[in-house]
Amino acid sequence: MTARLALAATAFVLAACTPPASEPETPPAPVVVNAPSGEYALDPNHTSVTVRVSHFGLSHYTLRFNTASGTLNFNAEDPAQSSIEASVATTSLDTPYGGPRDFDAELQNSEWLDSASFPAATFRSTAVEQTGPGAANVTGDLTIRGVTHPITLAVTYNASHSPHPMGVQISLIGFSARGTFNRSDYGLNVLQPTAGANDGVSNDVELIIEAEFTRPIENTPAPANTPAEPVN
Amino acid sequence: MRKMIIAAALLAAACATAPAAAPAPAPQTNGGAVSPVPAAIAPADGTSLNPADAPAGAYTMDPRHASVVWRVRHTGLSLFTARFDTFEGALNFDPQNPANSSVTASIAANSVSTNVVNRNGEHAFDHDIANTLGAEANPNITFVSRSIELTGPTTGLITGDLTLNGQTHPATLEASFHGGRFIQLRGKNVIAFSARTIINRSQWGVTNWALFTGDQVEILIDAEFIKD
Repeated sequence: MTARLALAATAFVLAACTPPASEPETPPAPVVVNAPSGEYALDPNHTSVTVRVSHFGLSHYTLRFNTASGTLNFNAEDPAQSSIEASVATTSLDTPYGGPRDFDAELQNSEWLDSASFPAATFRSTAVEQTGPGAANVTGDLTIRGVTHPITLAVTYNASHSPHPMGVQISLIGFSARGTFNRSDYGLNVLQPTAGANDGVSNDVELIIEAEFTRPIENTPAPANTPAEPVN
Repeated sequence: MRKMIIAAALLAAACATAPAAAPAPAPQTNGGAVSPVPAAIAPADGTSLNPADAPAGAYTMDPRHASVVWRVRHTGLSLFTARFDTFEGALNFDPQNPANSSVTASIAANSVSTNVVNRNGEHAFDHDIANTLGAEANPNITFVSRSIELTGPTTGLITGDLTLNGQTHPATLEASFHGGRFIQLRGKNVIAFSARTIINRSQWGVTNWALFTGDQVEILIDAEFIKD
């Protein structure tokens, strides 16, 4: 398992194809679901929304959104019956560059995300297709700048705990997700590459999401603060 | 099946060349599967993937088009994802024999950037992490390449000295050349690379929060370098 995942990760770095046949034939780790069905809230402190585009066909320009919220209706018995709604604050766009030119503000202006008029980008699932143990394609409506198009996210279930390993009376579930959309679908057309030149910023936008969800364990007192977890 | 998903993601990214580098260990899974970052966006027209097309000499990292992302597993549930936002890098590029190239980089340890804010809206956790990295006594995290082994036409393993928390140990970056081109706006040649490594942070004496935070830290660098 470790080796295979390493290969996959390596393939990403190399921008290259790793044919599945070349990967070691080890059985997948068993998927264990410890968390019960129910409504879970996205944990903003353990969630990251990373976005990548290609800049001039050169670097993978990487930024993130800092503020996300959402609700997962998790069905532990039949995960394909689960659903999710999530929202990202477009005003929380955060590029790495801290120099004199304010890219964060630029990318929120009316030519780009128009955060003043459209402060949220949202995703609402419409279908979950389980593709394997611990893996599913989650299709839903992605709304950016008030424009809605379907997108399918490839989602991996990572793990779940109930209760929290530190003994806190909450259940937790963690997922990774990724997807791609065309920004032109949402009217995001600034700096589109001119035909054949591969200049500007790619139309393809990659989403890379890590997300944890929590739910209080029923019939227990409300959890106190968790001093051991600096992030909580 | 997970393998199929990974393969599908790779294929969907229209990848072109074959990998050759030895894989680094994946971040420890701690009971959960590790989700790799998606396959890179494919290069297209206007960018040359042939390193020999780029001019030789000194290049400087373009801070406006670079990122240093790091990921560490959190209780098996997710990969906690953060950045360093202040860094600089210099590259001496030999297009005829890229293995003779060299690179140095410096990252400000106190430029840790997470999306976590406390109840007062302060980035206190960023400072906690920086303290864990020994930022006060050792403000810079540095990498100095010592040797480069080519693993393919656009890939290589860059081994060098990584100094973090005041301690120096070897580290190997899996590097990929993403292409080069002359950019009219700048009047300069620009070349781009990504690099990835996984370090065991305890080797550099960084051991905080080990109960729920993995020892392995994946570092993902994506950067453009402008010809001096």
